[in-house]
Amino acid sequence: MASNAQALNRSLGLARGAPSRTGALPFAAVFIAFCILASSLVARLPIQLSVATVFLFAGPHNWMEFRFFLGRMPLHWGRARTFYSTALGGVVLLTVAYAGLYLAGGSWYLSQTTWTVSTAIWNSAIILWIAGLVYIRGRERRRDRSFVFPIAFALSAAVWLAPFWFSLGLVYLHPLIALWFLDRELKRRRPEWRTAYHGCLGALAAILVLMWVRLASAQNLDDGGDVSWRITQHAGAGFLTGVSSHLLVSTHVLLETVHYGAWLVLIPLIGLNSWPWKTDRIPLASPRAGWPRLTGAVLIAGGIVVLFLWGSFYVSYATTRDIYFTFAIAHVLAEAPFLIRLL
Amino acid sequence: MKNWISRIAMVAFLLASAAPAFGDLLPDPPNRNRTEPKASAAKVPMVITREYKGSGATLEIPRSLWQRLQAEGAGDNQQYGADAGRGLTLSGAQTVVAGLFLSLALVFGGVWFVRSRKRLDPLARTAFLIGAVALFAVAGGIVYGNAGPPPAVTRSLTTSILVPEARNWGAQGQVTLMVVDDDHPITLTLPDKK
Repeated sequence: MASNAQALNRSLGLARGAPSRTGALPFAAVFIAFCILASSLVARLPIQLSVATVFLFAGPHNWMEFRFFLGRMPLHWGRARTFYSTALGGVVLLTVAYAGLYLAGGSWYLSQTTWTVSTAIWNSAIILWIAGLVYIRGRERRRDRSFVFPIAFALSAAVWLAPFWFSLGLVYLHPLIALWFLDRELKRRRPEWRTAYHGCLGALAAILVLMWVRLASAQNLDDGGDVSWRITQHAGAGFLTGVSSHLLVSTHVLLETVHYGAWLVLIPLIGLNSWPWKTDRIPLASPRAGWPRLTGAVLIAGGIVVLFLWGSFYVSYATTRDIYFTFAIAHVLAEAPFLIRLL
Repeated sequence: MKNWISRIAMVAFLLASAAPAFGDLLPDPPNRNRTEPKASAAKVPMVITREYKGSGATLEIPRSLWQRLQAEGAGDNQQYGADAGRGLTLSGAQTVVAGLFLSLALVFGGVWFVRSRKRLDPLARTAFLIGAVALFAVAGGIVYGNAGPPPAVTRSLTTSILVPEARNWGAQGQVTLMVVDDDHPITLTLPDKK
């Protein structure tokens, strides 16, 4: 099976030692064509495509991210013990706090004031947690990264003055993190592709600008239904009242689609170097010192969760979407430490 | 005898002049023991502004406040008072915590710069200083541009905003009451008089 994966990688020019720049141009062409096609469809049917992409790809892309992080987690933490302890502890605590805040926010327990202050506290906590991780990683590498603290404190000040801007920023910036992961993976495995890839990112920015120009004066989307209301609110339509909700939703869905594409196709092809379900390259699944059965069982359990999520979406899309985006904050948070280690 | 007559005349003059002086006295200050109207339980912001082309004064009241005032008439003012109090507290807390974080940013940034200036090459050091000055200049410009009018006169509703002739007497006239959407404070718009 592994040889099949290597053969696939070779055919795509992804194997180590492949001729330099082989595949860079087709890669860029496919990437840009995908972005153009996605933006055209999304601009026409933003709500429908938002529903479809979340339904189809939300679960699988989470599973793939989990698989990627599992492959990057060392068996012995060694000098990185403080880093991984802070990272995993932060992911768990911040996720629990977020879920608690969300659940309480939907009830009468929280007034608007308490909600705003709690949001600002949570936002400050995530910024300081990331700053702490950058600093700890710097100490591991004997580099002074204390400059992150003034930046983090300044950002925290901004977060307290405008808490909901940060939350909205997370919604739009999180999809782009996948592209950063992809850049780091390319740097490690296909550095000769990076120039083409950076051109792709420029093209994506141009496509976004063109879409904004086209949709700037578009009428707001009909958000009368439960699902469409959730989608427009998620994109910030309740907050950015002066901007067409059609433009906001289209932008968000396009970025999410690219995000899903990066995690489901590009990063596995470039970064995993084996089939995702194979555990032989996962350090934690090492037969000698690791937990191969447990690792396999966790991956299978993750697959079952994906199937369950599909079923739940089918039964009640709106409720499942709410629950999914509440607990999906865990994967947003988990990206931070693994990205920091790749930098 | 002359002294006695002059003293009587002085008292009579005082009594005679006391009547108009007493009549011109300001009204009694509010009695602390008396029951205040229910609306005073909640303080809400109010803006006085002018309308260049307007023909008459208007008083705009946010719709939610209007509805709450109506509810207050039914004895439901306590929750409203609490809500309004929380709203005022939030803004203050946000500013205080943001200021605290900004102070920490300055302190940590300064410490980092002092500690690492030997390691930084002159170009990076100069770039950092220029960047910091530019950041503060931009932030300072934005803050200064958004600063409110002078506090002594225009940030509180006292008689200091009135012309001297109106300070004792106040001003009166007709006002058009308007119930508006919730994104406005209570606004008294006065027509501009050239």
